[in-house]
Amino acid sequence: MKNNPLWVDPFRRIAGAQALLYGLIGMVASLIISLLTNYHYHGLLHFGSAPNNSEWVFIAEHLVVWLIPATLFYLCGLFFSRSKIRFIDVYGTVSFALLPLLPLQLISIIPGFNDLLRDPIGGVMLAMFPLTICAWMLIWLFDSLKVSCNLKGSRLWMCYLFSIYFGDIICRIIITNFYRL
Amino acid sequence: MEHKRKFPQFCPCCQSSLHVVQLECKECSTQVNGRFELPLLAQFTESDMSFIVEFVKSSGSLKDMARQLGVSYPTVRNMLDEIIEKLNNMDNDEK
Repeated sequence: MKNNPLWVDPFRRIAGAQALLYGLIGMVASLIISLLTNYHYHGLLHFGSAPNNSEWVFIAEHLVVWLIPATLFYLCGLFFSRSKIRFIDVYGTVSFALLPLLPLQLISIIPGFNDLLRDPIGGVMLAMFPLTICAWMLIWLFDSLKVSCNLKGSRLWMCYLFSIYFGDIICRIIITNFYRL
Repeated sequence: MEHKRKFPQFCPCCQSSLHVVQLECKECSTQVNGRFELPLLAQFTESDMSFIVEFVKSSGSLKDMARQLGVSYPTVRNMLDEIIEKLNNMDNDEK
């Protein structure tokens, strides 16, 4: 068995209830930071400010960004995997895979963050940070689907690209509707 | 010191599977010649074999195996499913 480093392939070691617990702790931390900084999830891969800063919107955004891709992964697993997949592995690993988004929110509470954004060099460097974090999250989401649903090859790639692309679109539609309420 | 040699499963020239043509009694050196297929378990790789042994030792509990191997439950389940797939392929090849 080929062993990738844990920062690339954490779900070789962590899954199920344990991953869900860490994921939920991360989600609560992320929620607190979001409430303090008014930092919103607009979709799975989109972040920033939003017109509705009600507390329920922050909670709903976090749940949508977790539950939509997890549900798409689960459905893909049910239809395309030959293994008996477990609900808790899929939802647990997806919640854990969202943990890299936490540092993204943490940097926004650094004093002088907005000044740094206006600086040409600092702005470019700061723009690279979210890209790196998103890439890391996408790697973990890929690993989540691979391990929890036991998918391989073209099936894995098709299910992954479908879930991420449509997951982001569905998240954006639902969250945009929250802002209108 | 005698080296423990690894059991060859595939032909070093063309990578096809091998079969047994000669067996010898350890006591009297009587030799039996013929064409014998390898037992099913002998056709697995060493890592698959050790997985199967651990699986039997843990009474088929994937949770216990995951704990012993220090990996997650779905990782162990995926390893087992790979072995099941290999078994099914071997069955199909025999037919």
